[in-house]
Amino acid sequence: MMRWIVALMTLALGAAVIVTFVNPEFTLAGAGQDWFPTEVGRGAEVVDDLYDTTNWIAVALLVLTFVLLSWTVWRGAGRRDGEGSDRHGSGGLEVLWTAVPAVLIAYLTWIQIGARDEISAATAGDSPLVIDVEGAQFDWRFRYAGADGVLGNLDDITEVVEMAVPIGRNVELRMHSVDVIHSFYVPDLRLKRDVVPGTVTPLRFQIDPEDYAAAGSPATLELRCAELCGWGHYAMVGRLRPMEPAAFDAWLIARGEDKFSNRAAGAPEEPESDGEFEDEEED
Amino acid sequence: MANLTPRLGALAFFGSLAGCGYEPEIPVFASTVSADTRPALVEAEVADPDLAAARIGGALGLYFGTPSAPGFHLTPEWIEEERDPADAWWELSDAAVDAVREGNGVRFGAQLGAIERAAEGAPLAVPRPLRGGESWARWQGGFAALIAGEAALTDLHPDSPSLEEESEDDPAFTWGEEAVRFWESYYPTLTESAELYRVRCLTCHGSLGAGDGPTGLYLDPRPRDLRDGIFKWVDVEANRRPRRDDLIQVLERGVRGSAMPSFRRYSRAELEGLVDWVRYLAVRGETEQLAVYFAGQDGAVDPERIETAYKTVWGRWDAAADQVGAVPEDVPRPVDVTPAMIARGAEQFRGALANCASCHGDGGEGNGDAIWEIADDGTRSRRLDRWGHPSQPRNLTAGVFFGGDRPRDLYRRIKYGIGGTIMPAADDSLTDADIWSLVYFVLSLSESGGEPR
Repeated sequence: MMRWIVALMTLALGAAVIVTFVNPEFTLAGAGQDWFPTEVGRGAEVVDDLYDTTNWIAVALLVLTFVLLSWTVWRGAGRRDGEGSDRHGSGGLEVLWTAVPAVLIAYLTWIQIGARDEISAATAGDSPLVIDVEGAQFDWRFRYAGADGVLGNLDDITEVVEMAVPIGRNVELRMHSVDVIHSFYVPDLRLKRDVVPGTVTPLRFQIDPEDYAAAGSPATLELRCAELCGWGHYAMVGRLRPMEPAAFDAWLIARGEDKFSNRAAGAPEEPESDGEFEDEEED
Repeated sequence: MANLTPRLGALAFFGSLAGCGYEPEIPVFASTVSADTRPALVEAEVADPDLAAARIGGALGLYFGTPSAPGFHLTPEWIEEERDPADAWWELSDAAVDAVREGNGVRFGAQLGAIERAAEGAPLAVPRPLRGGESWARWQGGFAALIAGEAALTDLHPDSPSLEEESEDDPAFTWGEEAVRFWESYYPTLTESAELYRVRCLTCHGSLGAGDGPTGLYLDPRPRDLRDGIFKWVDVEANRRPRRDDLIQVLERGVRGSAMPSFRRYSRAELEGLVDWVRYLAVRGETEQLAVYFAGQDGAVDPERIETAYKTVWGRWDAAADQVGAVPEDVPRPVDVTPAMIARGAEQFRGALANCASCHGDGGEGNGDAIWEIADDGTRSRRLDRWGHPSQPRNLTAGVFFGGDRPRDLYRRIKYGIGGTIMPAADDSLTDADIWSLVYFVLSLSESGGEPR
């Protein structure tokens, strides 16, 4: 009787692990959520496929592991003498447990290389919009080329926290860090890449207009730091603001005008007669 | 005999854990006199410093309440004008009100969507707010009244008269639209802003804003002492009180190069609320300092003098709007900058008149000699700023400008100086052309030719 209870408990534990951690649809579906937000990036579905494949391989291995474990427990708990059998090596088994993971890892490597190529191909093409990304404890800062179209000179436009990006246009980030390792992570675009001090890491993406519309045209996409970077890591939150290309170009020009204007903080961008409003306030 | 060594090692390890017992200090959100008030009273030779400190503390309680129930004492004039600085909604500019509404629209998007669908006939299911709070409860109560068709709006919403008018004029105006506008006017109370400050700012700026929070002690540069009302990165002239928009700008942009991050991820309503709280701490701190000063003059604390101090401080803050440092309209652009202009800037930089190099160094690396004070016995020490911290002129070759890297930011730093520091104002000693050539010379020092910095 005991052996059945213990073995079934082991199986139940395995089932719980699988349901809770491996297949979130079970637990999150009720709340109307998916593991990831709806993808809006060109080529991002490749990442989802990759994720699913890896996930199902892991599920299969986990099921196998727990079934074997339960069987071992069931068998072991039945022995009255409490002694295990004593074996020294098994050539066949060793070949098996070396070959199976080797094949699996080779397969995962193979599909990952394919996925990487597919993503690169999806955002291939010349003249992407280049944005310089600076990770710093604990802010994301962005630089755009100004009116002269050249990044890295005096008419650059700098932004903090919020990165405006045109929809349907290739964007290439040049990411660098001023202090420690950060990681640029946008779940909606299935992008995550470390930002390492002392080097410039490129990252290309494109917001797919159709996917973006299908996802309900969210006003902003969440940007997080995915590498523990210090006490304020939790607060290193930014956002991407997708914009229609025309609106983006207009925004960029307006930002350039603002940079070389003489206005004070809070002053209206275009001078207007606000005497009328002040009168209203007095009433 | 068993080997005892591993056990002894384990014992030593756990013993050391018990011995270290590191318990971080829990920040207390307290309202009392500042730590430096009593020493200042002693220094001012006030007859009974303990009594004077207690009286000042009591007066501050009367004028400013406590962190759990903060507020401002209303002078008779304010009561007549119906002004209450704790209700800052009325002091926001047109643009700020628009930004608050827009920010609330984003922040409460889920709620607003549910209301809009309900107005079209779907069953109403308003999701719970992201963060609770007394304003939220107030708003939700008002919203319940709205659904019930009661006209209780007047007491709850600052814009209600115009809303009522609008709904009378426009027959197509639905309660759904009205509710959306209602939600969009969310504005935090002073208590809620104090709570946000406690969670996000206190660890560096300290409970009274003295820049002495548990983390602040280890930062370089040190966090701003908010009790002075002197801020560095403002668009007003140096040593003037900042306008709301100046503080908003710092909160939104952060101070690149220091530990002050951007708080742009918060909605504009929350940022305006933080500005309210910073202003509260500053006015309170300034009043306290003035009260100490007056106590030193009079030999004791005089309630009338505290009233004077309170009004004086508010006078300074109210005057801020007229003290914006003007920048000439024709800001030169990089394409207009000639090598001759840069050369002229370099000449000025090292010249006798502007003499930037005396502190910033010939190469602009922040290593000039003039920051040192040499005592009679020959020991050198750095000149201190207003807050008693050693001065550190900016290394201009690093491309990190704390107060912003736009030409107008640098123009203001040069023309009007930096409040509380040894950076002087050029005022009228330099022409605008001179200042612009200096601005572009300084910017050229960190020109990196496209490489990231």
